[in-house]
Amino acid sequence: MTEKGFEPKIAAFVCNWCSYGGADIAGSKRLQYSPNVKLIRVMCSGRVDPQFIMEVLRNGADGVMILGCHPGDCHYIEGNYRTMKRHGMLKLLLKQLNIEEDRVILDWVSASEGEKFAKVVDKMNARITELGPLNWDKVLSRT
Amino acid sequence: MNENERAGIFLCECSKNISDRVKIEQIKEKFAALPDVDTVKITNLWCSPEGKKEMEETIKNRGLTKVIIGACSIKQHEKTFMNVLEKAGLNPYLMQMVNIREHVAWVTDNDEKATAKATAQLKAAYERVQHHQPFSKKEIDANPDVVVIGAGLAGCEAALNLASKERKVYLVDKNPSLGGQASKYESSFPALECCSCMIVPKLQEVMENPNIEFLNYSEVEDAVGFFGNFKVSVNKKAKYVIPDKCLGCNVCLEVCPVDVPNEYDDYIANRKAIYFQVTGATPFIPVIDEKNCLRFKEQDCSKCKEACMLDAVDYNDKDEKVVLDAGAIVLATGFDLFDPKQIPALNYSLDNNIYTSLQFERILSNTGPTNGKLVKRDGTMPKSLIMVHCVGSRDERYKNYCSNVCCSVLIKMSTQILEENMAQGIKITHIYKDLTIGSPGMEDMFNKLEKEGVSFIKVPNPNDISINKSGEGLAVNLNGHGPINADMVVLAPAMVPNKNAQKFIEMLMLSTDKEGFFTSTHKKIDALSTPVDGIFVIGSANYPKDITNAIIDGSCVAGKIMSQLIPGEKLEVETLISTIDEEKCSGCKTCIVVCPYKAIGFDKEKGISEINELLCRGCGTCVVACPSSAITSRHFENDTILAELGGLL
Repeated sequence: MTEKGFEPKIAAFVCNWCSYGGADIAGSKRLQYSPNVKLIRVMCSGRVDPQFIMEVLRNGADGVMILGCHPGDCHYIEGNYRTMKRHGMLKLLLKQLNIEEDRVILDWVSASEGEKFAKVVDKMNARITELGPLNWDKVLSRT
Repeated sequence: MNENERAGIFLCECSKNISDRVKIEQIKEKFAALPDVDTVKITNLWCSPEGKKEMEETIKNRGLTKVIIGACSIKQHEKTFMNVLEKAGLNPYLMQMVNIREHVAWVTDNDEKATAKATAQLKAAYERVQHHQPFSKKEIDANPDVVVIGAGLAGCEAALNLASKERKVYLVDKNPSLGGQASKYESSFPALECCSCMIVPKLQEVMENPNIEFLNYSEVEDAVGFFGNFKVSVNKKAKYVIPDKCLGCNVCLEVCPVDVPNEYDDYIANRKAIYFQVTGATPFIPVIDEKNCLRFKEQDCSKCKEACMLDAVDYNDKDEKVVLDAGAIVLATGFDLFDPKQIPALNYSLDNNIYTSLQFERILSNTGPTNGKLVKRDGTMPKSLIMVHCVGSRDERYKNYCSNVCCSVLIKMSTQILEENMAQGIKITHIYKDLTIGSPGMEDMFNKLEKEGVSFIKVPNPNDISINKSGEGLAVNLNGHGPINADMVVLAPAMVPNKNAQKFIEMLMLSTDKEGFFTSTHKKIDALSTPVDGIFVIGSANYPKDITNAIIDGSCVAGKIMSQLIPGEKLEVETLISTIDEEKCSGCKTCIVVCPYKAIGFDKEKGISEINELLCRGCGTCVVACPSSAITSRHFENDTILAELGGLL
């Protein structure tokens, strides 16, 4: 499954109030982590539409991360609970397409968790490297 | 990009913090070649006065229509650069800031990879910014006045701190007088200070403050609106007594033939249909209770009016409905006690000489039904007393939290009994799980009690004891301990939110936690605010607390309101909100269900949902939930996000 020299393309949705801040802290602490994960900021993980995820997987991403506030700490009170449910439903869809569930992960990073941010990114990078590139044409051709 | 676009890209070296790792000269070359990119500039520090000036002039001179900035964190300088855009005459939302310092330069160990990541993040911004639209700040007129619901100590303190010539406070309470639960106590901890001596001067100040209007014996019926513009409907119940004429002589009470349980004595004694909240209440004016007065039961009793020598009784009084305009609402509705009847093994009943802490306060109080004499139901003095802590508290079966105050209250009451020699030679025993007596002076008070022979028996859970009649008295059974006999038992039940506050949950669109306390914006850093802007919860309605902290809450919320609602100034409302396309909305109401701020209403005539732009916070949850894709999130539109994703990878 692993291809030599394969560098995953991973998009990470970070919420303005928590995980973006966590990424900032990782930076202040100069924690080094894989540059394969690129960040896109939303105000709340609740803004993340499963359609975005499907679109970006279709357009070349090998993996997607959604990083929100810890349950109970959402700046908008319950946005992250919605994300949890949507992610759950999305996993069912991925299963039907035989796309490995580990390619789309949901995790919680608070505004002070620099270490966790770096850890979560590196873990994702390692896992996607293991899984190899997501070949979308292959996905569609599977029955 | 559209033909008339002229994008400007500003890359920051950040005093080598960025340029040491990210090869921004290379990035500049790459982006300068892109269509519609008019200018790419690099400087040492864009946030410096010189940097900002140069950015402003560049925008103006080059007629830039979109701006992309590659620098530090949005949280550091997004506002800075938005201000620069505004000064340059460009709408502040027509820019995108990219973090190539914390998110790239500082976390990547390799120049090439860092440069590639920075390029990707900037490309994403370049794609995104093409979709940006200009949005204007929205401001509304705001009313600085405040409605405080609940005139206990927290509410009174809030009112006193808020009221000024430019800010009126309406203090509403369903009771006839001020003071709330605290008006029932004889003494306070830790100094056994006379409670009424301590609080009455404050209550007097409330009565005399020309900028506080006290609506006593009044109930809030409805509240509509939003921060800066609430309308609170209040029913001022008919009192049937003219306050200006009444001198508080009591004659009317003496002749009233009605006898009903007195809620202000926590039901250990009765009152008349015409009554004072408590002796020495502020204001000391009686009211007639419609539910029990004979005149409302088709009887022609006019004994109180006949007895009154000042013609202060007015049977023609009527309820008066008023609407109060205010910019903020403070809920200070206080607490009730958990009902020990929910634990049958305790056999809680007055006839058994088992009391709750509040009922016992009334016995110890000089204004109570025993005039402050410590006596049992039969009028005799008790020789032994057991005080049970944690009733209904810290137990998953009942209330799973500590009410903070009860241990101190029981220690206070024991101290009062002994120091004032209220029952010569009385033996007092405390049954407790843990002693939470963290407030100043309480440790000393406790130590003193132990020295004076008060027993403290620790048990795993006071909710597992049983109390039974034993001869003339009671036997308290603790598991693994012989029964302890006593003439009288005082139970300290958990403090729960006042049941009268229930109606405010729906009325004000608040939510509560599993124990029934109102949800705060953040329990740690913003405990008195609720997710509904302009509505605050203080005192024990927020969480059980003692007098000290209830008063602190009152001052604190006043400070919050004074800084958020400034007389004469307009309120800025969230610009980046979500909007519903009427044509696409199918009226399914899914968005209404998911909105955490209850900011979405329904237009029955049109059959569509509507977002209140003054309440929407722009979280975007509804956008995703809408099955018709009818909702757009300003600045985070689907197309905008998809464009950003497109440029990212």
